Amino acid sequence: MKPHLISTEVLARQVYRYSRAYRLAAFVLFSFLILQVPAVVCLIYERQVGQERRTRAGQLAADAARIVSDRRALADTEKKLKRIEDLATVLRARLPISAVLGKIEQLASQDLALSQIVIDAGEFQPVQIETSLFQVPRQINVVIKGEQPAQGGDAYKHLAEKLLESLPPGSKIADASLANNQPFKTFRLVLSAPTNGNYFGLGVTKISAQNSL
Amino acid sequence: MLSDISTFLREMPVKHYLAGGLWSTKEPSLAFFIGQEKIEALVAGVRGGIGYEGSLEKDNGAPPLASGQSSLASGTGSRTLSRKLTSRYRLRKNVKHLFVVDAEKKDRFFGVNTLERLRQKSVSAALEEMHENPQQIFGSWPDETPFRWAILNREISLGTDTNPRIDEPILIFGMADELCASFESWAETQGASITAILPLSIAVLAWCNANLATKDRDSLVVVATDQGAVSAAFKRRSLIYISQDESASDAFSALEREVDALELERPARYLWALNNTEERRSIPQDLLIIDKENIQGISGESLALQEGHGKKTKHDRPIAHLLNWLVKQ
Repeated sequence: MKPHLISTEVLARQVYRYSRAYRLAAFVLFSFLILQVPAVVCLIYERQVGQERRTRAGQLAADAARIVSDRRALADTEKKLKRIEDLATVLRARLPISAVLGKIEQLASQDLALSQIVIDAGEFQPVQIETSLFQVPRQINVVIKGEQPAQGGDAYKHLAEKLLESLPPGSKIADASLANNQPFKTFRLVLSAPTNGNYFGLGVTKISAQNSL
Repeated sequence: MLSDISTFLREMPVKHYLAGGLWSTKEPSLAFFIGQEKIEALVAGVRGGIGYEGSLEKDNGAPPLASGQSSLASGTGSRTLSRKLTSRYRLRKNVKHLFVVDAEKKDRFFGVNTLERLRQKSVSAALEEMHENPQQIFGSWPDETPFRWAILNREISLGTDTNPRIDEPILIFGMADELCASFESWAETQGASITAILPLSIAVLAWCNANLATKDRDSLVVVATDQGAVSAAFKRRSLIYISQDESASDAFSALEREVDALELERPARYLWALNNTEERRSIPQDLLIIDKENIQGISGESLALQEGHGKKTKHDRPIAHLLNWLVKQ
């Protein structure tokens, strides 16, 4: 039926509904828009992620500011800890003398009479901590002098070997000499040990908990 | 070109496209009969009528009445009337509207003329002149009422382009612009397109010329509606006379006087009445009244249409047959 008594404006609008050309144009447009959906979804996702990232960055910045302010209160403690840390190199290079002496006491047989024990540090290395200069030893020398009966055999050597086993790895016997006097023979043992080794062999135990102090 | 594209993007009927309009232009039709106080509708699928709604004027979203009066709250509900009807009869959402209007006398015009007498060379020129300057065409025409105009050929073919010779009779009809615009804006609220807006009398005359034996015998047809009567004379299927009268009896009296002048040979007389006429005593005896008793014989079928309650019932009132015929044109 012909569109009798219908205004040209309405007819013009109705052309959009029924004309193949306009429907094709609409189809192309809708297809184009549908193809944009993944991109739009991706964009929305990126925006959400960006938003979350910015929120997280804000939170982290706030946390960092809080930590900086908390740390400011701990600055003095931190300074002290730094000094202790710096002193570690100095403190590490030490010898538990009582343990050495105790070990010598344990290992020396009844035939041996010890006349002198000298424990001395050597091979010093200068270490600067803040404004102070420390001479840190890298080697400990243990000198033991004594006597053994003429028929005492190699008791002094046994002592030297046992003591070497107790000292940290890298230790060595520098001298083990015996003078032929009568009726007792005098001996001299010199052992050197590194200062940075562990002294567990001397019976020193590791501190496992703070309250054990 | 750019303005065309921007207009298309702005006016594009997105809902229509998304409801299937992108792929198919086969849409169901809602053919409305718009009376002064009554609105009826035939709901039609692609093959013809499916359902019939006998009194839509009470519906909140009903179209405006022929008096121009709008219904209570046009389309303010959650669903439009068109959507309700398409859902009720399980049709596609995109619909076309056809309005058959029993307009008041002041809102309508019918006339038979020739392009020669109108001093126009073509139908389009005549339409343009009637739109621009109706006084020039009709001699006198009230300025305050703009009309919309249409011209049909003498066979009253609603579906073909009119291309008559300048001495051939043509049917000129018009309806008030304001009344037509009210149907257009209502259809827009429904998201529907419009097939046509037709005066009831013209639609009936087209139906009569297509279904009655006007080809075999000269005919006098009177269309009696609530707004008076329209009389028409067909000479071997060609409309040669049309006139508006107060009543069916007046119309037949006027036709009787014109029979000789129109050179009609023993014309058949038909009366198409919207309602049961009470004037039968004053109208000719050899008259065929087109009513529910004989409509099946004229149109060749009885209309069984579903109603709102879901049951199919016979709808053999002439108006139902008319609407069913119109949606098939």
